[in-house]
Amino acid sequence: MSTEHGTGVDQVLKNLRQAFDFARAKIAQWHRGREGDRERSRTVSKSFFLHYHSARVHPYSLRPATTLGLGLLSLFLFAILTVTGILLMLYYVPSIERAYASIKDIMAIVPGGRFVRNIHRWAAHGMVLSVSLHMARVFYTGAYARGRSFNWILGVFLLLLTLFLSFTGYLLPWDQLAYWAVTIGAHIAGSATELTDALGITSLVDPGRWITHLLLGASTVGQDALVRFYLLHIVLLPLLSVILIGLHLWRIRKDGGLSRPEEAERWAPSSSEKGDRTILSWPTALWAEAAVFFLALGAVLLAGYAFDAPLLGIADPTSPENPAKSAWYFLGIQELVSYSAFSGGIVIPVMLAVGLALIPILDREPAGFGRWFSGPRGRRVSTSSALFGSGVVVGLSAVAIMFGWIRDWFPEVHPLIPMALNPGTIMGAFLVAYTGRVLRRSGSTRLAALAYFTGSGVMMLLLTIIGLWFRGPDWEFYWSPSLWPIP
Amino acid sequence: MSSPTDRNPIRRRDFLTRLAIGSAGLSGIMALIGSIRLAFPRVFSSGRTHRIGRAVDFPMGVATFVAESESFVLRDRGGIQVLSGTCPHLGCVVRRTDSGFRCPCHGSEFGPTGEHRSGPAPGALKRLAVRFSRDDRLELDLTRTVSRDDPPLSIPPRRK
Repeated sequence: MSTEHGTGVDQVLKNLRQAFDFARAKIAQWHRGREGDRERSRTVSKSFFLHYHSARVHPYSLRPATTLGLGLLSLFLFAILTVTGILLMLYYVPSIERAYASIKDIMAIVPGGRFVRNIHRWAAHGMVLSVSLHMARVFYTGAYARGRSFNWILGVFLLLLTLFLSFTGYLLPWDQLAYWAVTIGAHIAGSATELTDALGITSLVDPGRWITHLLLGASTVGQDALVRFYLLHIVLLPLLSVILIGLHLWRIRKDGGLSRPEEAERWAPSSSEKGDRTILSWPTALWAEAAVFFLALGAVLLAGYAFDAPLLGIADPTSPENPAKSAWYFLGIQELVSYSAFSGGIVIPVMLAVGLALIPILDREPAGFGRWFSGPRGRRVSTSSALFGSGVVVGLSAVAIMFGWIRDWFPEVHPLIPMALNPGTIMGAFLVAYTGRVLRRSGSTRLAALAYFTGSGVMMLLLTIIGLWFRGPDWEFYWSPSLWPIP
Repeated sequence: MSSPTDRNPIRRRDFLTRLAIGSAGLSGIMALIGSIRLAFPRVFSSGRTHRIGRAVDFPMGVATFVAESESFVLRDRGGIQVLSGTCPHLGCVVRRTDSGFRCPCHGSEFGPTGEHRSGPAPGALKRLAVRFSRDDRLELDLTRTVSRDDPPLSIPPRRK
């Protein structure tokens, strides 16, 4: 009996020792893995996470100038947002009575709460920026061509998800900024009513109201809206993002690695007789990735330490801030809706997004693949498109600011006319016309795509700048915030 | 003697397979429709009334802001009318100015009785239905708007 008992304990100890030896062997294997090529590629391809990139990469992909590390930066910011978001969920309460107080607690009482909230906020801003720049990089290097169109479309959805994640996070603190940004946003989503009203068919069919009810769970921003935005922000949108990010990364491998121009083959030394110029991703690619990660982490830690995330007064449904500005990345759209809610808030953004998704379908030119601007001609077209776009935005905005618009000149005009003809829609029309002109004259779809992307990018950028710095109380134009009237 | 497959263009096995896939697909679609329908709330909009006080509580000739219903009460010799303070553009609450009302969010301007002057708002401020309750309090119906051409509510209340 006692001997049997003794054997049992011995057996457990033996098993423990075995598990320990196994772990030690594993660690030793990792070390060995750095030695032989065979072991290295095995290490990568056996690991779920490492195998997201292939065991071998082309040295051209590792040049910082190829990608600027923007996609990885977005990925790591998403990871940082997930971790800090989970920490914030420990204290945040999605109820209109307690939400604001819980954010106050996080800022003032929770140990490290202020730091974590700051990081979460700045990482969110950073992710919007890095995802947008990543898209620009992929576009300008023509990396949506050669079977990569599906991944580009995934990327467009990821950009929209990033924006929507930021927007839903906006409401949660239940402060003045949150309340009015979301009131405006929900009305923009429901602004199809403006069209049905103008046509006089709202009593028959009212899609604006359906969308408002779906988004807010009610007719106005209240407890139901807070619950819905919370659900979207913490479960639905992050889950969708994780799935799409997984697909997005997997497609890079399936599409044959990052895009690279023909010259890249000459650029890299051949490592084997077969002319294979790839190198093992362990350890070079991993070091590059680690560098981007620490850059992202360092940046948000510094920002979170140095700057506090804003928190205005508690939401007051009877009086908006003046001016009531949304987050910087929506100020371009806010500038457009200040001309017309439906065309500026729905039609133009939807057309921009659809236009982005259509780029790889309409342009299939192989030339210039992997090269910035596809060469000097593309660079010229992009520059002139940027100049043209700036001229159109500045010119039309100046006319609207100095002389008003159609309804100021003809007050009795039918509401459909300013909805169809306002500075925003005319900017869009100019952009389409310019793209068509480039297409006709050059016969190149790639050059037309460059004109379209650059033009629309510059337009949104300039509208954002106008909204950010040149709009004051009552959305009036001011040269500088120091000239705002004292209330 | 013909085999069963000759008489029936579709074999029993294929038929059952299609039936299984079809019914699974159909129930999946029904479940999806049901789930989507769940997300659309039943918003009841009737009966949201506010009692906002007696007529004499509101000074003559000045628009008075009533915070709990986000509306403005206008009282003059003609009677009383109530304007919704919610801008018909994108839902911000307008504020009173010297010449009428103005929206801080996108700069729409309205005249003293809510008529549209300038800015992106598609029309005038809405007029809300108002009546006198039995104890002579003004009773506001937030869900019912009235035409801008309707006469204002006359004071004192007419009794039958």
